[in-house]
Amino acid sequence: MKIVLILLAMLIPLIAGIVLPIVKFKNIKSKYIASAITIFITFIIVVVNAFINREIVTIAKFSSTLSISFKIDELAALFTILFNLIYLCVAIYSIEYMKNEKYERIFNTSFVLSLGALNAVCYSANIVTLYMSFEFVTLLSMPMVLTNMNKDAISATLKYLFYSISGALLGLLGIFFISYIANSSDFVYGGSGLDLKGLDVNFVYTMILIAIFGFGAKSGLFPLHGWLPSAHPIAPAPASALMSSVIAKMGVIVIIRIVYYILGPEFIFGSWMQYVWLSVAVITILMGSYMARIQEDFKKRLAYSTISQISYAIFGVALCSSLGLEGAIIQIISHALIKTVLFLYAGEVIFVNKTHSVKELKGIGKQMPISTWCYTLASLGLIGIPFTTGFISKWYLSIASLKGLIAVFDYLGPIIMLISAILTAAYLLPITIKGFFVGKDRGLYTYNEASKLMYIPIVFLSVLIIVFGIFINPILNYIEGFVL
Amino acid sequence: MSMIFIMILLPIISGFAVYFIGRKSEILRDVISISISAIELIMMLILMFVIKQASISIEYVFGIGLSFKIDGFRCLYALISIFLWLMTLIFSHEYMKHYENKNRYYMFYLWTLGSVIGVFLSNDLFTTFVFFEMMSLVSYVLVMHDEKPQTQKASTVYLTVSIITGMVLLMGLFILYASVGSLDFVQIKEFVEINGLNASLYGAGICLLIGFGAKAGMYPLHIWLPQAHPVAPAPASALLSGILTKTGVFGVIIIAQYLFIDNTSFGIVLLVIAVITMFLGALLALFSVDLKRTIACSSMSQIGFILVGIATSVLLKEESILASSGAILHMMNHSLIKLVLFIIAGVVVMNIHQLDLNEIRGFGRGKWLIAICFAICGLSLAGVPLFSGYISKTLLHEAIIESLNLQGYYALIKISEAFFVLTGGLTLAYMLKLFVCIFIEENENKQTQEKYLSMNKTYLSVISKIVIAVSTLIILLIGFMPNKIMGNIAIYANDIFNNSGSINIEYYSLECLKGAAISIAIGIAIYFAFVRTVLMKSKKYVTIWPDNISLINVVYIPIYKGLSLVMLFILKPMALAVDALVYVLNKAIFKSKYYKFEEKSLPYRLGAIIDNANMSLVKKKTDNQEAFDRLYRMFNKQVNKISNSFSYSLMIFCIGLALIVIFLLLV
Repeated sequence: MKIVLILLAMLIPLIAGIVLPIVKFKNIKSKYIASAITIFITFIIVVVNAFINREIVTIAKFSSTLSISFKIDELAALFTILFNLIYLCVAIYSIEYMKNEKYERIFNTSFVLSLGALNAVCYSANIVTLYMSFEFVTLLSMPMVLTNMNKDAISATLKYLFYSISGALLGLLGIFFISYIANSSDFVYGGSGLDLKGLDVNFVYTMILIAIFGFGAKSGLFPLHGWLPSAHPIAPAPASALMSSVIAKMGVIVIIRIVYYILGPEFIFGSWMQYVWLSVAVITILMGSYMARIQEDFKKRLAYSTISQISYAIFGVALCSSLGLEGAIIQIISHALIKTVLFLYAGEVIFVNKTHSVKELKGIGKQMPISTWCYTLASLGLIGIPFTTGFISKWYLSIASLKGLIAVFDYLGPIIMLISAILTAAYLLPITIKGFFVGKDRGLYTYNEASKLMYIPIVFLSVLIIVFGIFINPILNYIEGFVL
Repeated sequence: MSMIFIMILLPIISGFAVYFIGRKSEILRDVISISISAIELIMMLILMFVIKQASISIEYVFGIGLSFKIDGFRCLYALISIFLWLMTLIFSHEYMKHYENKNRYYMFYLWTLGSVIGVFLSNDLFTTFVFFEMMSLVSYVLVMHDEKPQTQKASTVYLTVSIITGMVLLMGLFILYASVGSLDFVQIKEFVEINGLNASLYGAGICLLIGFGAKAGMYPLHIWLPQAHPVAPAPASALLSGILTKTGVFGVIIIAQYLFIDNTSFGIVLLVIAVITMFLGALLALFSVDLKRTIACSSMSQIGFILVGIATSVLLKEESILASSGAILHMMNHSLIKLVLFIIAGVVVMNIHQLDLNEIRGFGRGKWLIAICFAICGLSLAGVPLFSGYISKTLLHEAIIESLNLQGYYALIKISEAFFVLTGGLTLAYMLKLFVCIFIEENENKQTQEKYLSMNKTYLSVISKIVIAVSTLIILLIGFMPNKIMGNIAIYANDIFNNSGSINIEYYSLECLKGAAISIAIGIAIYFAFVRTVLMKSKKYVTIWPDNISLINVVYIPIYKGLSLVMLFILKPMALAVDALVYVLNKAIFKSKYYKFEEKSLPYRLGAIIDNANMSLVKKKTDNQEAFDRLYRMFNKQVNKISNSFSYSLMIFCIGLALIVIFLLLV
């Protein structure tokens, strides 16, 4: 029964993704309701799994070290609940949003399918399964960018594929060496021991670094971050929300699995490789925020912001300490919630106002007060103001950095994060300010909120941002339970 | 115990309620807001007199938990805050009549109350910070309230300063938490007493000083203060000046008493900053020709006085009771005085919608109540004997004189003392300027003057008059019998300075009166010799303070521009590096004309970078991208012509052949 449940979490979306396009629906809305129900069922299964399942499930065994197996550990349980929840919110949102899209079929299929692959990534019990599911995520989520089917969409999709595949191949190169030196390719927290087998340690470090850069491509780690700002503005809003808040996190999860569950953080701690890694993370944080600041396209701005924010998590992972991992996990949770709100809001603005430019958002607060309030709360979260999850994650990351005892970076990390926070304020808050404080032009704007189906997910996630921003301790205790 | 908790949550929750009630009934909304603050006042009094000492910590929130405490100083300041809220809320009912978005105003007004109480009752820096940030953001909406272009500009400065210094403050907290392991005030103190100060603690202290100092209006971070106060609605200005700046001062006291314990170098640095703030604020106030701006700059100056008290309390170590009492009493006086002054400024704005001194001249003629109240506040602020301000200023003056004994800093402290006396004089001068302008002189324009006189019956409702009268009465009352009332308040609230004992000082001794007399003499001299001559040309108040020379224009904007230039040239190429590489490779290998990653050519992007640079640096719109693109196309056409020709291919072939030959020869 438990095995079935694990498989169902992956299979239901995969089967539904294949069946839904074939079945004839009365209208687009009912199709999306059906996919929302599918995702809801998956969500329930995932929640049940998270509480009851802790054993390893092997599907196929090719050799003594090569097998496809799944296991739900604490990390997987936490992330699958979070990601499925976000999928559910986005699914509800797309019922309304996608009704006018011409090629919504592409989106719907890819959207449902990718959830299965996503759960597989989280549930993977060894590195082979992980790599395989990771490639599946890339391939299955690719059509989401393609939804518009115009020239831009095709070039953006190709760019996404190019970056992701080349990143994954770099990662594969690294994985070869990592599985060669690791005693076991199964995930055990802290690693199950290493044996260099005559390889030069610096060579191994280089290979690990290559793997990190490769998988980092998915998470927008410099230098392979280029696909995010191209793909996000082109994709429909629900797709960008998922891309940035869920799919981009896959890279971080893979890196966490490699560093903390195969190699063991002690192997990397203090080496030159860690310094390179940390500097790249820091550069990405600053670069993403700065580039976001100078963008005028709303979604492009958010895409660069994603690059910056996920690098916070990568920075935490790169600290190679349990505190750093804790901070990174909270940052992933916080960013997933916040970025979904921001992208869904951007989508709502595009849906209602048909504008992509930030400059045309004057008075938006008078038109869509409820969603703009949620946007404001999410922005404050992204900046890291107290009472939001963003503050907690920034707090834990910075404390981890300062306690990490890595020369230079112990102080540089928090400083860069705070500079980035200031830049974040500079690129997010003007929209709120121009949106609400319109002065004597007040009369020009009338209430024009999108339908309830669109803003209820936004409101729900914003409430979560605040609730988890205050009552975060259970989650912290849960993370500390397996991290420390 | 959970009363503290309720006190913070009540205004925040009722803020929402008030917003929605306001849509149905405005009167009900105002009454509820006022009664909420009245309930808060009663609860505070219960905490003060029944429970007296208590602390509470809530561990299951925010990761590391919150903790609150009530003791003398905290109670005193929370009480003053709630009192100011009550008074300004009552006044708001009349003042806000002609404003829009009143529901929003009341909601944020109550939220600010909740966060301010949170700040003052906090028992660790984490709690302080959480509510401090909330307060900064929430009060921004109050400053922004009328949404005029000028307001937008000023409140943007306020928000920018709040966020940047808030982040600096957070950095200080990070360092402190990482090295001490806790942010509890007492534990920080114990840690410092055992381990001493190291470099990172100094760093943390400086970060905290920047964070709290900015809110207090400390030089050189005061830039928001003269801008934000005048544009905010008058009740909000009263709070900004009376309470919100004091939260910053509260933070500075915490730094001084729990981190830099008796650290002379910190004391000296703070003293210098305090003296600059004090003097500069008074100078700005003297030169200003705008009623609210004058009062705002005066706030900055008075914060300088308070900081002098804190600095001397650090310098004097154990015997700092005079300094700390002076600081506490001056804080209290300043809050109460600014309440009345800003409400009176609000009365002026409410009636004639003007703030320029030349326009409002003569407004107060015949309006006896506000004239008397204004006079009392002015005299008290200037430290004239028999008024409350004299008591606190005398204590501060005595503290400076006492710290003259400090080894090695005699000259510096002597200069500080001179500035202290001089600034006291300036205070009198600018208050005299305001008083004479509004209440004594007649307006240039006869019709306007008659209009003003005709308002004498209707300019203010009875309730608002009571608010002003009651507030002034309190100021007047606490000035009498200094040892009985103010002395006891000071001793009651001295626990935050860890001082106890009695204040042995004869307020009306010749020695003390002498200082006040010098100040008053200077003030009157400045008024007649400077204000009436230099600052008044052909019977009009003129401003001779150069407009464009401000700290923002001279220092902060160039720094911002420089930084953004550096970032532009370092980070933008990085962001586009791989894209560019792919683009070049694409061109080099495929030579494809159909498939491009972006529709734009490299020169187009170069042009775009230059345009961006121009936009962000000199705010000039240029169109280099199109021009570059045109050039590129022309160039490309020619190149295509050549590269498509047979002779070009032949040439490339020959070069290749030659290279191969050379290679073979070399090998």
